[in-house]
Amino acid sequence: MRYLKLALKNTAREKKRSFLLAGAIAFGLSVILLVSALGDGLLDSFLNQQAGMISGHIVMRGFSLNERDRMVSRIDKNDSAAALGREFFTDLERINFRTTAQGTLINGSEAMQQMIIGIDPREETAMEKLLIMESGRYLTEEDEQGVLVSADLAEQLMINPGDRILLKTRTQQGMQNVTEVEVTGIISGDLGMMSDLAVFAQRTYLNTLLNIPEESSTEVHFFLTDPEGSEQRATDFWTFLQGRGVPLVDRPEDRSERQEIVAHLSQQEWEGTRYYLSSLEEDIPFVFVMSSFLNGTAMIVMIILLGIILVGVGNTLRMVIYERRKEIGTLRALGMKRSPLLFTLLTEMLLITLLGALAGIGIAQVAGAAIRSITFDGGHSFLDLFLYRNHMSLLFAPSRILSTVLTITVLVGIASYLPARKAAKLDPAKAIHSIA
Amino acid sequence: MKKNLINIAVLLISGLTWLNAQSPDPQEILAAVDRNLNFETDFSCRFTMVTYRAGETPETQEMTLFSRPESVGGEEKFLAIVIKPDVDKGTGYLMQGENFWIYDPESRRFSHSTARDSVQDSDVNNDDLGTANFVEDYRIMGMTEGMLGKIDCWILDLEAKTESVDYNRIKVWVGKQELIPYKEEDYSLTGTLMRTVLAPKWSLIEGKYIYRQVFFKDELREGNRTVLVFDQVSLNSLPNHLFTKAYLEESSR
Repeated sequence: MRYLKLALKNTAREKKRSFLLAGAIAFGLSVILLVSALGDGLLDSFLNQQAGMISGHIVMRGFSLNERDRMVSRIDKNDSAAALGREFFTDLERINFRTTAQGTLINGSEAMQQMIIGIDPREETAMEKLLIMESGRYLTEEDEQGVLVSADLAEQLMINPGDRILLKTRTQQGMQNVTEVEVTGIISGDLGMMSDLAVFAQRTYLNTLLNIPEESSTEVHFFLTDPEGSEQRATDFWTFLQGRGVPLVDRPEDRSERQEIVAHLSQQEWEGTRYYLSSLEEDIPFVFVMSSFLNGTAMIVMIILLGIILVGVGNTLRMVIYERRKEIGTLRALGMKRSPLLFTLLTEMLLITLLGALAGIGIAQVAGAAIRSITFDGGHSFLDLFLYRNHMSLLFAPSRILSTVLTITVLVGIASYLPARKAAKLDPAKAIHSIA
Repeated sequence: MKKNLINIAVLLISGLTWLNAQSPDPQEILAAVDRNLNFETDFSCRFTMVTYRAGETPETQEMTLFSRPESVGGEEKFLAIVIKPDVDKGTGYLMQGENFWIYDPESRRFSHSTARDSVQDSDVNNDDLGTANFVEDYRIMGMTEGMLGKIDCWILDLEAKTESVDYNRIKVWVGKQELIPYKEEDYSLTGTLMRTVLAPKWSLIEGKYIYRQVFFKDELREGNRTVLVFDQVSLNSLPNHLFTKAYLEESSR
């Protein structure tokens, strides 16, 4: 306790120097935390909010061959393999049966190709909470031919809620089909990049267009409460299903190989249904690539800043020791042992580091809050990637803050150790004599 | 009385014969159309495709097409390469039976596709370049007579036997004289008219009718249409290596 007080007193004694060193640490840490928060925020907003619109964290498709040996995808509600998902995923939030197809929406001479996602609005209450309607409303059971389109698409096709437009697609066997649909609602672009990617329709109605039974679907989407590591979890589920004797499409580690396998599946012959599992990382990889890029950037920034901090800490301590040689010599002459002296010097540096870290966390939080409060106009640019409801998504994960502070503290300790030990080893007589 | 009966019988028989001559079996007409359109030999040509899109400048593309019927190659094959404009030059389409690939010369990669996609975003489906199989794919729902301009036609109303064809219902105007289709209306599964195809110009080469000019009109999108013009037609046999990915890669360089 006595030595801790001494360290504290020493820190306060050299206010300017301590402030500068702590300030450098605070600045470095806040930059690292902000860049990481941007990457983590992007991934978090994507996994927990935006992805829900387009895809589950794990998606199961069931491929079978029709009487003409053409491959079709279909999974019924009582599918036994899909039911095994309830058994396997202990953190299952919900399961949604969806039908997806490529389609073209046509209004006069204007046309746009889009992914059409058939949902059951009674089941997808989470989707209702997630979507922000710019105009019109969410789908209800009554809107048999209703569709929800993005604000961007509505602008391009020049349509408003209540308008009737054409939806062209193909049946699952490949026959051309077209029908009239009614625009029920327009989804706000404020939801971020995912809001532009699909058109939502009633699953039963889309099924009739695809000429498959009304109650069936083409995909099962598993939403998990802990969606991180969806790729590994899909692999684990695949292994689990394999153990249960479920016929599966191979799942090699290389994702491009998987696509090749699916592309050539129609050339193979088999009976019954073969299940294909994909993860969010596989289906929408660019978000994960961007998040990794940001975290990688944060890591590089951290390495550079840590280097600067370490050199600064080492030099500061050397300077402190040089200036306090007489004092150190006197303390040693008065009987202070080496280890308490070492402890005092190290504690002094660690105190400055912790003060800097606390300030850094504070700066990052304030800056984060300021960035979050800015309302951006979704201009469909690269920035959209980071926006959710027109605001930047930043996530300060406590584990990341703790690990970064811990890393800095340990490294400062290492950088301080050698000069502190050298000071502790000083001969008291020589130390006093050198100053004299 | 006996004489009268004989007269009535003669009249009946000749009447039936006349009726038969006037209304031939629709199935036979359809089979004749298939025979007239499909070759028992290799086929090659160059075609120009002009795509009109509402509010846009028309796009013109030139392609070389090689095809081989199932009877020659064991499976139906065709290969088409874009030769103009320069920006699309080398883009290729290769069909070998059920497999269909698109070659992108820029990335030098093949992507597996379906024969149902459209050719270079036009109103022409890849399937349109292949063999006609009306008899196998469609059942006749009715036949009437009508004029298409000055051409006297049988109008066949056909319904798909299988979902693996592009259109559920088609109406074909078949010229009574040559038994070739001059007009086709394509309907979706929901019964909506999706596309009208007109083939006013034909050539007769070695006893086979070959399109010279075909118009495709998108009935869903106002102002969208595509015109195909065929020339340099040949029925000479083609080397086997033409219908390979390697040839497509090589010729795109």
